[in-house]
Amino acid sequence: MSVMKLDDALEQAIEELDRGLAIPDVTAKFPSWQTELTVLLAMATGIKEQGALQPREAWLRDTSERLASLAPPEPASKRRRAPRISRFVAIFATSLVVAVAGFFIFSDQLVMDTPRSQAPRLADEGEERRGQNLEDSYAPETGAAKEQGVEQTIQDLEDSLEELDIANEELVLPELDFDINP
Amino acid sequence: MNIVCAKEPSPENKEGQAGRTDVGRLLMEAKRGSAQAFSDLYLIYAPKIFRYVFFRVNHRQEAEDLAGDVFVKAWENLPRFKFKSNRAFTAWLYTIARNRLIDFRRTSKQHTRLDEHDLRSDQSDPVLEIERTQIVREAIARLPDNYQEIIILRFMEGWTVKELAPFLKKGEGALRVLQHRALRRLREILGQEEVI
Repeated sequence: MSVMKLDDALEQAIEELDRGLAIPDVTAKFPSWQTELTVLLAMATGIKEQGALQPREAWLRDTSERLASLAPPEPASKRRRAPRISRFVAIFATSLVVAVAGFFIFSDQLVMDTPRSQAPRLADEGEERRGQNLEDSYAPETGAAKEQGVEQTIQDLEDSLEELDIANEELVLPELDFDINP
Repeated sequence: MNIVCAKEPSPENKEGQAGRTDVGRLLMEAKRGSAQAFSDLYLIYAPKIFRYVFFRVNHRQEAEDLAGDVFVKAWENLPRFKFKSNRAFTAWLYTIARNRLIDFRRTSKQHTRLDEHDLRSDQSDPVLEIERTQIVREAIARLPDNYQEIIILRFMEGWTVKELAPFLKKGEGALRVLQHRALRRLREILGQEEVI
């Protein structure tokens, strides 16, 4: 029959002790370790007695009052850090969306210039240039008209302000005539 | 004020249904912001945390300050604590206490282990007047940290090896070896004195 290790015998002996058996009764169950267990179990029992130590009542009372007067703690934050893998997925997805959007936005510029693709663009540019020339030739007339228009607008605004002043005066309430302390 | 510390529960695995419900209810109320409920929880758990700290710093005043800090810290972090069981709450408190002790030892230059003056200064406490108690306490204070933890939690507080395993992050086999070595070391420190 193999002999039980002392560590295991001690554990079993402590459990027996906890069940209320006396040390000699317990050690009798482990004849191979009787001497060692007698010493160790006496030690365990002595330590257990130390567990009767109680804190001072004054300290208990003071600390209890101190705790009862504490402000409620900050609630735990609901926000949780996204798991690392999810963050990677999010970063990848965002980058993909940006790349696709960028491709569509700038795809016009990516089309290579060919004589066929240049034709409509050149036509547009020629039309723009002609429009600009016309605008330049009529500039003095349009400038005068613009100035006249601005003057007219200013005059209209001044008239409106005057009308508002008049309306405002009419709106002033008559003085209240009663005693607030009856 | 009504001190209810007398209802200090036995280890949770042996605790009755009423005790479990009581602690659970108080925890829920405290998590909703009731400082009074947390204060009641404190009165239940304070003796355990006090003992754990006291036997490790070996100084009553410092143990009281540190144990008080543990509960303030617990209150501040309570919204982040996920209640699963009373045992989980107890283990959480002990974890805070252990971290507080690490901070204390890191910052405190005057590590008070085996301070002869402090040992004698508790003479006013009737529980500690017995010389034998003082000698044993002194011997526990001389043990390495991991031995102290298993001695306090396994023998004083009645945790089983199975319960200790996740808290001390060790296998049950390793803990059985550890408790044996801790007891043997304590015996060596106590020498031939017939204190136990």
